[in-house]
Amino acid sequence: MTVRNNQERLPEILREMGDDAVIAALCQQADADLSSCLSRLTDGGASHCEKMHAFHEIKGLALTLQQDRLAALCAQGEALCRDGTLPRHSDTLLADVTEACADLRAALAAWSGAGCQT
Amino acid sequence: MTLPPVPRPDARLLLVEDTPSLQMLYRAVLRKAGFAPICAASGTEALELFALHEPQIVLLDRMLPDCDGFHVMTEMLRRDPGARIIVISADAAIANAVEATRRGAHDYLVKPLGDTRLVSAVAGAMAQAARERQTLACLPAPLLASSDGVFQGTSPAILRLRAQVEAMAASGANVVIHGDSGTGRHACAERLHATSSRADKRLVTVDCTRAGESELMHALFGTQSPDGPPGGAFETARGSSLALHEPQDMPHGVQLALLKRLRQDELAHQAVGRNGPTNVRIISITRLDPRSDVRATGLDPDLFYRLAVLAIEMPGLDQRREDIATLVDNCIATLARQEGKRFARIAPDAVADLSARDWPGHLRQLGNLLRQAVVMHDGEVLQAAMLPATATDAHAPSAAPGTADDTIDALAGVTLAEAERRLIEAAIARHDGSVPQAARELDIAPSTIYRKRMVWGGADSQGG
Repeated sequence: MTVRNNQERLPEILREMGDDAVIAALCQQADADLSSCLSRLTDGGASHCEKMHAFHEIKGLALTLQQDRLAALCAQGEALCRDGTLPRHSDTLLADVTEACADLRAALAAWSGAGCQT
Repeated sequence: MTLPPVPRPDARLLLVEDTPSLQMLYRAVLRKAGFAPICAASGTEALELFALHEPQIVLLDRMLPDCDGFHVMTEMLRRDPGARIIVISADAAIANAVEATRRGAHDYLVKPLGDTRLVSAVAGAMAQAARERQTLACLPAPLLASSDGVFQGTSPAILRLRAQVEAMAASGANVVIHGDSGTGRHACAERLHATSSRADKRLVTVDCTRAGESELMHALFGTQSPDGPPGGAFETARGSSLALHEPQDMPHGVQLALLKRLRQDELAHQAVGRNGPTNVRIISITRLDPRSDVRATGLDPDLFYRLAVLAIEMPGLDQRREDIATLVDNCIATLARQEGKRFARIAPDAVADLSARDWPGHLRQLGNLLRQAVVMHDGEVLQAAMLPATATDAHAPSAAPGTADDTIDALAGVTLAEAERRLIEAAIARHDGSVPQAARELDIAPSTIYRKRMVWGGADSQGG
């Protein structure tokens, strides 16, 4: 996985911030949120409702940060939670979500650490 | 493109987003645009902050950890129907947007939110709220005919009215409030309802003069027939009071339908010994005296006697002349505030003037006249000279009663041009030399006065 750390890859809403310190703080918070959501998704004791909410939170972040694959996976997760069929698909789906989250977290680290300089 | 920051010190904005990074992001975008949002991370916290800060605009995430955002929105709109709720959702389904709008959302934003979209949605809602506040401020408040206004005073007539309302509020029987328009009949109905055991539900009002048979049937019963599924004002007023304005103007078919519904309730009451299924107290507001010949009222007699179980006669202002001082004293500051003027009190000679006049339009006419005086003048004390001759004579020179004819007599033998000059100069003098204010009072352009003064000045110099 390669993260191209440049202006073009920085999501529009972050690019418009224009302030590196604010962008860094946002990226760090987004990373913490992703981590928290992933913990809930992999927690065997979490209810369907809690898992659906975790998928929803990641989907919101993914949409905002223009991560289409992650958003689509989370939408699928939400639908499975709603149907009650998540357990049958959870392994594959969680593996995909975790991988896509890892990509996003790497991107966040890059945006956060290097600001938005090319 | 980002909108330029605009300082909005009075803009109250509540942001409800449970994902910390998104809350941080939206807050940063909004701050950059000049807003200072208050932030909540759950439905419970949002409702607490809503009660505390009374925000004009709410940016509300649809899915919250403790409840559905729609539930929060419904509760907020129940508390403040004027609040503008902008729902944010990661769900782009049209059905959800439609549902949000149906429940009263001002706007529905789908993630990802660009900063321009977010800021323009908030700015648009804010601008609309400001426009509505302005419009509301321009609306003439009923003041004297309001629930508080009507009952002020210590005249025997008003003391009797208060006692009647108090006694009848304790009853559940239907009431007829009759009297002239402008006496505060609706305010009386509001007080009757507000002091009754039904006060926890809102008073439902139907104007029977403004609709055709099918519209009125629909307004009352929600369908074209009282046998149809429940709906309309009758259903909304379940367990509450229903104010019917001028029920004698209802088409005969609607009268029969209403009679049928009332009979059904009576039968149910007799059968089970408690209030009928609808349990609506009807307060009829009418210009007709229920003591008059029933056939002359235009109401079906069966219906008439079911509506007019109890009766309240609204006193005219001529029956409570001694209350005028209290009434005008209590409303002058409010009127001035509404019109952006400084008046804090009314001079005794002005009160005496008002108390001596006839008021065929009762409280409404008195309120209109006071508003006219406040709109046309300014100062700390409203003087008798500022009172117009009548409430509707917007451009008449101010004069105390009885002096209008004297003023006209004084102009006998004077040319029209000279009369005009005297009128204009008197107006300028009343406004301490302010031509624009005089022009406003006379409803002419200031340039007209300046032009005429130049002509008069020329005439004076030629003559002198």
